[in-house]
Amino acid sequence: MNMSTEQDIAPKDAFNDLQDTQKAEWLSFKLGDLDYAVDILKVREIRTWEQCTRIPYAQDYVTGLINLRGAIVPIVNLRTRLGMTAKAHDAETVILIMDVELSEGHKTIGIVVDAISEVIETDSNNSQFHPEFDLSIDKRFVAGIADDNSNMLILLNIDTLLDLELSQTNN
Amino acid sequence: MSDPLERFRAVFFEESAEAIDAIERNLLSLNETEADVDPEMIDDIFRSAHSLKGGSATFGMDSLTRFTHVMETLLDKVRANEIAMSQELVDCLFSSLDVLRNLVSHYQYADEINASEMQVVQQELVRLLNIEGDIDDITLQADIADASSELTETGEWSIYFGPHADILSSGNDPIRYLEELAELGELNPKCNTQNIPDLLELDPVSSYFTWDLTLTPNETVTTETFDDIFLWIDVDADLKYDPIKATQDSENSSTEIAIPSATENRVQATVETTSGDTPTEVSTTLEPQKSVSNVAPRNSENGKPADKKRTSQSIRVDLEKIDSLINLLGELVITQSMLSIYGDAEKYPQFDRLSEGLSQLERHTRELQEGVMRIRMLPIDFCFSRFPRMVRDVAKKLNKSIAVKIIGETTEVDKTVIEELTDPLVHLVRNSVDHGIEPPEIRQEKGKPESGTITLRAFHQVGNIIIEISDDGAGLNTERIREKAIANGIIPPDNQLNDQAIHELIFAPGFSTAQEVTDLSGRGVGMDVVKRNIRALGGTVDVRSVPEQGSTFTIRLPLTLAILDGQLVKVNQETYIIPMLSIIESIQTKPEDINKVGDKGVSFKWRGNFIPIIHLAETFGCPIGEQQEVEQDLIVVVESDGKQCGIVVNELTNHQQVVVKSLEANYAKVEELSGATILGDGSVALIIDVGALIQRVRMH
Amino acid sequence: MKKILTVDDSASMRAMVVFTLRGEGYEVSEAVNGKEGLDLAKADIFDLIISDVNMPIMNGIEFVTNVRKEEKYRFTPILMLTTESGTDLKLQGKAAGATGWIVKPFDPQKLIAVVKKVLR
Repeated sequence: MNMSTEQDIAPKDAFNDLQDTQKAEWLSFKLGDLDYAVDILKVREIRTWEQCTRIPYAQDYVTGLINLRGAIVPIVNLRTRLGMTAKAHDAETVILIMDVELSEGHKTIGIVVDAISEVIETDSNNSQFHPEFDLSIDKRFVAGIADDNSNMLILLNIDTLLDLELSQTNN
Repeated sequence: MSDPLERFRAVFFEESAEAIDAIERNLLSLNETEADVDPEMIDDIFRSAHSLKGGSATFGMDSLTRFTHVMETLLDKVRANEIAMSQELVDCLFSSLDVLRNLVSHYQYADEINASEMQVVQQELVRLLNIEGDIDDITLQADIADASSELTETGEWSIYFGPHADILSSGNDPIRYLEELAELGELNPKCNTQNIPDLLELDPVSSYFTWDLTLTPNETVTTETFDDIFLWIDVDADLKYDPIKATQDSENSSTEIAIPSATENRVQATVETTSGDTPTEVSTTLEPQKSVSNVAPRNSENGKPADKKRTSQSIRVDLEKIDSLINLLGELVITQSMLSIYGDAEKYPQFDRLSEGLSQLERHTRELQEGVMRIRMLPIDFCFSRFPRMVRDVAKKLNKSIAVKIIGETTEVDKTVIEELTDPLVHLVRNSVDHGIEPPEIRQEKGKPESGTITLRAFHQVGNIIIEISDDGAGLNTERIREKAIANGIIPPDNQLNDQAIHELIFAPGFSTAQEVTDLSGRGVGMDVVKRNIRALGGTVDVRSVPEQGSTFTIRLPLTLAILDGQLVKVNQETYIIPMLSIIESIQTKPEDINKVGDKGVSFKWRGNFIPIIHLAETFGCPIGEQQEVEQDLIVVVESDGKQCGIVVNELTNHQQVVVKSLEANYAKVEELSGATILGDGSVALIIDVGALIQRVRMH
Repeated sequence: MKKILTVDDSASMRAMVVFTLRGEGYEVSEAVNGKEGLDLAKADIFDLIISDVNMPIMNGIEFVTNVRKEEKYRFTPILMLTTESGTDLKLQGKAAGATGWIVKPFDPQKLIAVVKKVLR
């Protein structure tokens, strides 16, 4: 069912899975001029922006830590993670709390996006994979492209995108 | 867990672990006083084997049932003085323990049964029994494991609920509140209808009912519980709730568990209405939560007073339950510190009563926190108790004679600490058995008693637990350690180290060599790993040794890993926490004390010596705030492993207990941080790993 | 399916309420201020209304007062999102006809619990 959970599959396979998949729901959001979406089953909750505690030695896209009902949860700035310039938070800024499966196991990580848009249903008719399409982001992070009323939607492979050496070794 | 049997299985596994430990404990004490066998101990061992048999039969763990049956039969004969206690028999029973553990873990974790071992031990048991066959013929008694039936302490409440006539027009439906009350337990409502006016005067959208209710809660409730429920309508209704004094006779309440029947458990709230279009509901039937259904079966057969006594003295609680309690307490501490700003009598003179209450609240919160933390504490005996058996086995193989002396086994320490402590302790004890205590003939030559002694001792010392492992052996061989350290390149050949410094080299990485590792002190683990493990727990280990008198390893650990006494410090705009344990003092430095390279201080003079300085703002890259002033910096002098350094901070703020949370759960390990915590304002603050920070500064 | 109206000027707060409640299977409509909320409420019929207090054009107190005047919302639960549980605000809200309130910031879980409670 869930094509983005396997983090070791190649994008091509992801597309094949996508075609096999009957239907999937994606939560779309804005980052800069483009629309992106994540698998809705991985979204635990949506929170308004809140102040984070910075972590020393962290990668630049790790904004910091928040207190999620007593659990310590890191927040990743998705703009910075995808190589875009950061943007100050405003009333539309939202933190999506994601349940992800990383190589070291299950984690809860928040991602900061500009604004959330809507829930999109995809199937093989309106989504596909374009390896040749220049999205200016790493192809491993892309699960596919969906067409939402002739608006392009980049479906993100969130497990791969967040599976990273979160902390930098200090020197 | 939906299957009730599954629940009891879990209880059985816990019990069987206890039973096996009890057998072991008794066997060990038998061993020491071989001459006169205490019949009570045999009884105890018999009982443990018997309850294992009963439980395993109930859950269909046939192999375990068969094995314990043989054990039980043998023990029964010993009990009846038909078979005499012998060293042979004790040894065989010790071997039986291993088989029992293996069988239990087979059923619990699907580990493989060590069939050959089981057979050998079983044959030996049978041989000692002097009987042949018919061991498979077991009349299974359906002794159900005494799944310590949880009695919920419930006090009844009498509640008056009188919603005002206009309650419905605020969107609040009185029925909903009755439903909420019904969720708390068994609710007996009585609806008062005397206020209903004549039909002509009746306003269909007004509420005329009041209720008198009796609640038998499933869990303890307090006034706050009701305050919470009625929070939205405390001005729209007359409310009164009082606990009812218990009238139940106590003799009965200890064995009887009220299982509410389906009919009793329904709340019938019938509202008669005059016309169909009124918004009031006509009839509602409520079913309270069905959480009471998993009541343990009553056990009338198992009337052994000794068993009863043991269960009444302690209860088993899932660690998760305690942890969630600790988390909640953490929240309470946060709320309390949020409120504490109003306790400033100078700032808020109008709240002077409040400040009194707040300081009481603070005290109670702290006491509550300590109390809850104490639930997690276990006597160190949980860890120590394995050593007599282990030392006995190892010494036997080495042809040594070693006694184990345990002092302070009731000293309590956090369960997690115990779990993490076991491996390092095993290593240290094995080390003493292998290398510390000499073989009997050598001891004799030296004029020592043939039998050596290993002493395990535990005691508390200001928020720490100290554990000493000492032996009366030969002591560390200083010269050999020196030679080996030189050979392994740990120290230069021309070193001038004193004996103590040489002894400490055994903890150095790369000191232990293959030659050192016997199959017993085994697993190729060196003392450096012991030290690393203990440091990971926030503790220290050191060694003292006197030639021919023996050596003593001393481990110092915090009592709990979950809560830490912390000093909050401000670094630029950020807040960090330094564990109080590692702070020696905080000082305002004078410029002349600071040794600078360029315009940056690198070390400063403290108690006559120069110690390195860490500029935390720089090391951690803390962003500089807007109106940041180069005020006089404070230096917090910290110590770890006997090495000091000064941490430069802007300001010391609160000193408080913090609940330690892992960074790794959702993030990753961060060098020089040992975790995070949640502060009074709900924000996250990071806890500094002083040992790692000092190591960093010494590497640079 | 129960229908819920959420009235809030903050997009992120709305997003949270909408996502959380849709996830629980409710049909949720949004409005950005009291005026818009009142129009929507009149045009449709909701089982529950959740409103912010501080909003431009028409604030939450006015909004609740007006909604409560509508015949079809005489007994509908109306919850207010408040930043503090100040007694004044509480009484103001009560006077306007609010059923109860949720104190901000709150967890999605808490929101679900309260909504389930009033809608069951």
